[in-house]
Amino acid sequence: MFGKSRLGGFLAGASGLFLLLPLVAVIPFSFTAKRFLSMPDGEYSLRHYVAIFDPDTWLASIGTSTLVALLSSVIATALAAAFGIGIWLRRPASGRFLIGLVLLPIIVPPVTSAVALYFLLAQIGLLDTVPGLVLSHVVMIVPFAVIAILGALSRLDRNLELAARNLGASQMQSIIMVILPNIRFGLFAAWFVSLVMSWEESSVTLFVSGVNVITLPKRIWDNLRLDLDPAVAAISVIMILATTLVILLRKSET
Amino acid sequence: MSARPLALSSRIPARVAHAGLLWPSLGVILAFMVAPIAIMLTYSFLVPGAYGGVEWTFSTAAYEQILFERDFLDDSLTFTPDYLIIVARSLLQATVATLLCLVISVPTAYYIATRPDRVKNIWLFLITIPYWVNLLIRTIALLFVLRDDGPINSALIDVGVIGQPLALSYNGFAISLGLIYSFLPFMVLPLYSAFERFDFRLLEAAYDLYASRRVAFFRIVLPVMRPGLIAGSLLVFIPSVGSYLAPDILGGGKTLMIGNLIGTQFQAARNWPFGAALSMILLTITLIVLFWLARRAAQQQMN
Repeated sequence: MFGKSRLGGFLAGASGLFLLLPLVAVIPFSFTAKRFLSMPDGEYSLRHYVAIFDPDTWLASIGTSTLVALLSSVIATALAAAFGIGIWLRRPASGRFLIGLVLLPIIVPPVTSAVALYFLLAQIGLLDTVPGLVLSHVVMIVPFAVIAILGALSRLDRNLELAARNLGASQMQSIIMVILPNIRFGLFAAWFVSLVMSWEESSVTLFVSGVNVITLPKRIWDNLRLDLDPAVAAISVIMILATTLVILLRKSET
Repeated sequence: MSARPLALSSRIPARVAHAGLLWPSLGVILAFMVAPIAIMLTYSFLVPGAYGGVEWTFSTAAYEQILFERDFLDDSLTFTPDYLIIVARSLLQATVATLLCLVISVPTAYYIATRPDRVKNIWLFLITIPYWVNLLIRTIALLFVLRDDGPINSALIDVGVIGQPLALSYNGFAISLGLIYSFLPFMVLPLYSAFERFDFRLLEAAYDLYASRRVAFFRIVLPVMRPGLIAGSLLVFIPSVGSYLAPDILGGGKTLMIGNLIGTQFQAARNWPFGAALSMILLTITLIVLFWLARRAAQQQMN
């Protein structure tokens, strides 16, 4: 098929290059010695990496992003775990519908979710606050946590739970002592996916926060608008490297 | 003993316990996704307030505004296609991005899935990096590549192919490229996992029975791939049609898509009902595409 996969090989190489080239191309921009975003011409500098350590701007945003990501990923994982186990135990006739409902935030276009959440948060006075942002992130990432947990539960042997119940464990005991320990890797995966998703969330965040609460993506966005600060390139390089490192670490674990 | 507080819960009937597990998530989705969409629908039929917000007067003006312009003096409506063009452009850009992603991804995913394990893992790693890197940063990175002083233009100038840098950024072409770049991994990965599960003995059997490559592809491979193709298409189309970052950063804010038009209603234009109406239209388009593809998938399964 596909001409002895020569075409496949070529296209795979081309799309690999296409996907990775931009991530590499940012690097030289981050070492420019100039004040504005440009290719360095002979002169290299680390000043834009130093600028990231400004506690009032970049560091503050890194802190905000971390706080929001930690809170929303833990909440989303807890919600998703309860939901997944509920579906798994009860196998309700409406299961498909309920799962579809929880996956709604994936189906709704991000801009639409952003507008809808903007109206709601404006209504209850949580616009541009940390609780408002955490709520928005939880809604947006819960579907991904649910997918991870349902996947883990589908590999769990029902007999384990039945055996626990037969031996006199209450429903709560069987959940805490049998089900949860058995899906711990799924729980971790769900939490990790949620953490990354929240850390990187920019579509809803750009709408529902911005003056008091500035996450890292929002700060990058503002800098790109206002004055093409080369610190954007430096922070991009750091985030690309961090992401690559995390993927490598997760790979070596499995 | 530590089991004591747990034992209490055994008195709670299983039905109630299960409902207690399901409801927190359902409640969050209902309160923070379904209810907000209901608010949005309501707002789309109201009148904009003077400084943002809404006034509680029923009106279909927000929807009329998409097609018509109201004259200030005599209140007459004249047809203006400006907004319609933006909606059409969004649909076109998203369709083009989805089709091109399909064309690129099918051979790519097939190639990766048929490599030996070691090579396969390297390819998957390379595809997963952009999948995980922040979308905003990836869009900016693509802008760097397309800039006048970016690697493509400087390479072409150094080689002497062109004298002046090509206008690669801040136009419709850059937006198309940006959408493909943003969402290509969403197409490659589901297709890859579909190929991964594909039983290649089926293909050998088809060849043994004198099927041509074409026939084998369309009759054997494609039907098995269909769920992956549909999942991938949705994952590319839905975020593309409402895309906000790519048109803004790569299109330079000149070639708007519906996402940007919506965004403007909450910044400079301060017209909440119009923003709400546009969002409802975007949601409707998405749901139509979703149900159309889902029905096609269901029909294929029946056959």
